[in-house]
Amino acid sequence: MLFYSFFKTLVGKEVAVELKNDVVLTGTLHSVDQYLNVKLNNVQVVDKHKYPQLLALKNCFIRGSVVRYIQIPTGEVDTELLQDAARKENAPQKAS
Amino acid sequence: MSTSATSNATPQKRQEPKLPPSGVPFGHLPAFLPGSASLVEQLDRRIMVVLRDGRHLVGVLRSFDQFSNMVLEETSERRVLLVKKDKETICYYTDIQLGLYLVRGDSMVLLGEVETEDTNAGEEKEESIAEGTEEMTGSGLLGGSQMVEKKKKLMREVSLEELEKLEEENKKDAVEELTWEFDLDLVV
Repeated sequence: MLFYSFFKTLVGKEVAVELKNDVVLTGTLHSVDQYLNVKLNNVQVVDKHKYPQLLALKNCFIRGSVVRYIQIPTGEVDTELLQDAARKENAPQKAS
Repeated sequence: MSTSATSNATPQKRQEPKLPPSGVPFGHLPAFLPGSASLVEQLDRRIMVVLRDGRHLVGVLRSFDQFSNMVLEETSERRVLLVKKDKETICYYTDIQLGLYLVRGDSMVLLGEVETEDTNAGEEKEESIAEGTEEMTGSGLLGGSQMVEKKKKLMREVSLEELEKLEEENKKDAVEELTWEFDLDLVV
């Protein structure tokens, strides 16, 4: 659930989603769910001449399992906070 | 993508699982939570679904489930061919009617809403594509580096036979390869 919460803090920010088939979509993060399925608003395809089919789409839903990367603006992320959260998330497992 | 319900505190057998007041079973997040991505908003709208094998299906979303299995009504497969002629790039497309489809969730890559094509398809599309291109250059995400000459991208609907003919003719020309295939890593 850590990254689900993480992405929830990034709703409204511009992100670039790179899929496993090398297609890159940029847009505003509208929402995310527990499977890290992502909904983007104002979506554009990077290199739209190669992928004209998606020209008509304004918003899209991307299945989490096909995402390779989600690129986020560096200024939006508090890496310290993220590290702490990751430690907390994994600590109880060690105890048990 | 395998998902399993989170650990359920109360051990309950199948007879009468008691649902919490929200009506959603334990371990599931309700689809309507604000900020949670859900296909609820796309219900009864015309969407384009991209599949892992590169096919593009267009249809009206009637229902879905937690695995993104979907029922699409009036589905058509949209095949697109990009042809560059001099200064113009023409996008030929054809819709192959398929009917009522149930799409399995794990073959789905992405989906998006397409405008309902009530009016004259040809002219409307040309306008919307030209507008769309302008909007994109104006949005400034890439800092104006996309000040492409406003190539009027035309979308023309053709029949399947015509599309196949065009594909043959244009094999010789250097048309960009549209690689949508996902499962290439499975190919020897």
